[in-house]
Amino acid sequence: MAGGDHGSEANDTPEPVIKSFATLNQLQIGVKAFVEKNGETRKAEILSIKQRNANLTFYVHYVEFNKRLDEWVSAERIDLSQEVEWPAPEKPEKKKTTVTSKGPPSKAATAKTVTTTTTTKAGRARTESRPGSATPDLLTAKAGNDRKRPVPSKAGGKENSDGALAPDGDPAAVTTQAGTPLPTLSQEDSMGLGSGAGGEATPTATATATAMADGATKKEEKVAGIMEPEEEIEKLRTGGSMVQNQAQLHLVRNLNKLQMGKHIIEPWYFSPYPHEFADLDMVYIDEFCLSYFSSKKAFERHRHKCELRHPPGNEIYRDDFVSFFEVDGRRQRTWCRNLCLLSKLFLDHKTLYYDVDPFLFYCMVTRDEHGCHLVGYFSKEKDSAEGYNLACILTLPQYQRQGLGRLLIAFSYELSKREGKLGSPEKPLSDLGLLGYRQYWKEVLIELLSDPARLPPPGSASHTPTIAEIASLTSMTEKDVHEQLEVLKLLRYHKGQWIIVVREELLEWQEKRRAKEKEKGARRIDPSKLQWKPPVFTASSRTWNW
Amino acid sequence: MSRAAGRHTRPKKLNAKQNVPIFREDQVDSLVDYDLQRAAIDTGVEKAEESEYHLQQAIKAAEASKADAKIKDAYIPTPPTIASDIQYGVLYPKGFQQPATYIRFSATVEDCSGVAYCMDEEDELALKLINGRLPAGQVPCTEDQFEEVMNFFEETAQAKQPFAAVDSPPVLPLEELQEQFDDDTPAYVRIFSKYIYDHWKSQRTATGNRPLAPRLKFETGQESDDSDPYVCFRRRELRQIRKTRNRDAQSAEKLRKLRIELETARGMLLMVKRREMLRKECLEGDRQLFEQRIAFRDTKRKLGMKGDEDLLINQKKQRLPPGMTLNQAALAQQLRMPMAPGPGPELRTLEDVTAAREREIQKEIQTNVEKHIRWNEGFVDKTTAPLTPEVEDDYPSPDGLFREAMAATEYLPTPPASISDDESQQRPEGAEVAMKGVSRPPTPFRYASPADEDTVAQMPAFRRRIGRGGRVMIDRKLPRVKRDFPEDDRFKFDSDDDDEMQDVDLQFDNLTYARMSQRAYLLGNTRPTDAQAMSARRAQLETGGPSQSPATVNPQITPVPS
Repeated sequence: MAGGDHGSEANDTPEPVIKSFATLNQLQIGVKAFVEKNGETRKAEILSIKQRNANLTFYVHYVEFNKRLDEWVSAERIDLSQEVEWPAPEKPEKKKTTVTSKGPPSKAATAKTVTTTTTTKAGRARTESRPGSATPDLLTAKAGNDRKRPVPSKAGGKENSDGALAPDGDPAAVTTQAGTPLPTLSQEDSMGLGSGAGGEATPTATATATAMADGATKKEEKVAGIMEPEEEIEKLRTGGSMVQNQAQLHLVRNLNKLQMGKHIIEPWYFSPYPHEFADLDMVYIDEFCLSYFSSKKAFERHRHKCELRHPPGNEIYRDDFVSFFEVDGRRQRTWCRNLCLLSKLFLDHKTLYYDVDPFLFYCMVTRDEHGCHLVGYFSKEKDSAEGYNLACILTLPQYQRQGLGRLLIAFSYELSKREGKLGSPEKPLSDLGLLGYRQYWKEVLIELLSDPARLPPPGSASHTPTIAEIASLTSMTEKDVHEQLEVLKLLRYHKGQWIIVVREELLEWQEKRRAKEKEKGARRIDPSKLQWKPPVFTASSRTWNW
Repeated sequence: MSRAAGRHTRPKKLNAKQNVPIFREDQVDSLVDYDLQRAAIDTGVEKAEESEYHLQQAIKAAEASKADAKIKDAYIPTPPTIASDIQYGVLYPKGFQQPATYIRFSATVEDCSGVAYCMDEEDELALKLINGRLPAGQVPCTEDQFEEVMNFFEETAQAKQPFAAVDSPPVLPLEELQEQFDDDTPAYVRIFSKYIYDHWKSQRTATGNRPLAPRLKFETGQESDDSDPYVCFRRRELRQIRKTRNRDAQSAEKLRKLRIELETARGMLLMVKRREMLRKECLEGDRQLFEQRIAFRDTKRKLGMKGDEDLLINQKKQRLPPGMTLNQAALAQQLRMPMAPGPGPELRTLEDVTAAREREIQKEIQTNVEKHIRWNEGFVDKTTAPLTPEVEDDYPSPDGLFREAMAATEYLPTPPASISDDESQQRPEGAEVAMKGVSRPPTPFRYASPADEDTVAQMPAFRRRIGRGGRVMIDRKLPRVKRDFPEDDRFKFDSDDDDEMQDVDLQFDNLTYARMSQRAYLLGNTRPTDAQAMSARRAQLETGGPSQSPATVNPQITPVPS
């Protein structure tokens, strides 16, 4: 992943990668080293470094693997017998404005003394109180730039490695990039101090800010398809999910574990829960109201008082297995914010930049005598300009791999059918989202095409459908129908005409699936149990309410 | 050749409206696979992540044909979820009842979660210490009470120092917090606040006087917000607000009014609440009194005491109107009940005397009236302007229903005369006040002559009637001037000399019913009453008009008042 890196790797003119052997103390943020993982070694990029009692731990991202597998590894797991890749030399970034305004000053300040770095840690007193804590390292745009520091020169490398020994004795040293507003001691600064080469850091930042001359690198940026921040924010204003630009990359996961209902869950991604939660072993989430607690006692006290037993909205669907609740983001701000914070832990591309007001949340629950347990949800814009019928979708991790995501997707299309609209999920999809959707689309399309009688008149069996007809039957957009027919390799060009060839293999697949469903019991959405009218929001409510 | 081949292999773009026949694999021979030529389908996954290993494996697995069964099981690994060892049943008690109908719910999280403050382990410890240090006799503070006190501190601090997180003012002193107690503050909050305050203060000081509960980071309006990933749920810019249109102003006005009304209602409810509280207090007092009396009585019996019986019952207290001394009140009572045997009749006030005098006057008037009526029994005053007009007129009631049209300005200078009761009984101002309470004499009684009808121009009058079937009829009564008589017109043209005629006609009698009936009375009292109208006409013919209009040459026909 790693948009920037990936972009640069995918370039037509790949930068020459500088490789060499490194010592443990030479490792810095941005370095790609080989890390042992499940018995094999994988290339991983170091995103953050922290130090506890002279032991270094590294937060690494495995190249070509999803970010949810990012983790803290101890030094032993880093294979230094292989060469490491140094971060590419400084190259201009789009974020020049922020860099010029903030980068250099903080750089300069931190470069002078280590103590000045601490002064920039306004409001983060907690870090000091918790030695070796894993601060949520925000490697924002500035950090992203700084990450691409020049490889320590042969001459300076020695000095650096010498100097790097200095912080070893400091138990509280948490190492991350300088230039971030986070209150972490920069290893680079420490090194700079130790080596006396304080000036070294400063040119790095200034180079970022000024060197825009190289046309080739500019082109690279375009190829990588990185959005301008303004564009991105504008998109966030209207949408529910985001394409990640540099600013959102490399957020170190901030929560360790989550206690929710009967489960303990490991978060996958960063979520902007309160700062104080970052270093806790466990965060407690109330299963019904989704409130979050840093203390077990507080959580228990809250449970003692909380009376909520189901999502605070109207039940619009109920069958033997699940119920769906419709919750309005504007009316239930707290609950929906809680839900978004929670789901951000498992959705990389979800945006919490703007408030939840323009969304409706469709929450799927299972029921028992304790109450209605949230198992998944999807959000939907009240008024989508781009015809999306779904913004974010999540099956909670403790309920995954049970076909519940498929139910959620089916429900979202059921709503679209009721609205009489075609719909498509907002992009980008996550990896799991893509698989879920493809599976659903495959099922629906095969089911429809394998039985031409299901196609409407002017039908009879001999009726030849159009893409538009299939779309209106399934509420899928024509584009989605077309693309999925291609993905399934059903569309053929035969004797000057497009035809759909239903492959045997897919029919078999369907038979198998049906047999399995018969055995386990099919979970489907029954449209007759949906008590729902598309909510109408007047122009004035749109003007005044969100 | 190659060109032809190219054309052959490059398919036309598929149109969504184009029919696409469906075939089974065995129905089509010689499948040419175009996959190689086709552009890759956009997955919708972000470009940077599309190449991720597990995703690619999974996509491959989904596309794999039967042959590649090996990679069928590819999936995307996710961090594990494990079962927790918490006491789920305790934290989430059973008892959820699913209603038969679909749930409809609008309460918010805040509505459902009780006191917002939740004590943590530190608080628990502190509470133990606080309870240990309580003065003897003081009931220890429960956790619920502790939370309420803390919540009170937090809320009050938030209200008084809303920007505490930014400008970090000193922690509020206890006195200032206690000032915020109101009627709803439970007693234990008042009591425990002084014990718990120190703990709260130290907690607040430790966090830089920020709210104690962990809070999300919202935008602060600073530039650093944009890049801070912890800042979330920003406000979306509101759309351009339109200029205030009339409609908006109206709605605003309506809202304002609604608000005022709601506030009034709220105020009333508060007053009602206060009243009920007082009433409850009063009842409790009564009950206490009652119980004390029982005890008192029993004691008295036991000890065989006599006397003080009046202590056992409620003495009727004389209610004092506000702002009066006891003496004045007594006085007022006497004034209201002069017949009651009261001490010191010499204390009569002026008002009392005048009232008595007025009563005398009224009585005299009343007797005079009665006397008058008795005198006039069987006597009908048929004079032009009778002092006692006849009570029963034949036609007065329909007459009364006519309403005179007032619109014409020329009529206005002199107000319409009327001989109705109300106006005819003109009395001096003072008398009127006195007469109010006295029952009206049944006979109309006039003190003065009615205004001379002849001097007043009559106005057209109308009445509305509703007939059967809801028909609405308008009757009009036009002023009887000479032109109303068709005979006049007829004769007008017969005459040779117009001028002469006019001279005569101008002197015309203004006939009213009263006058006509008077004439009739004078002429033929032997005639039956139903022939009165006719007789009136005749009388007019024969006598040449009533005495008051001397120069009248009467027309033959008098219109019957309708």
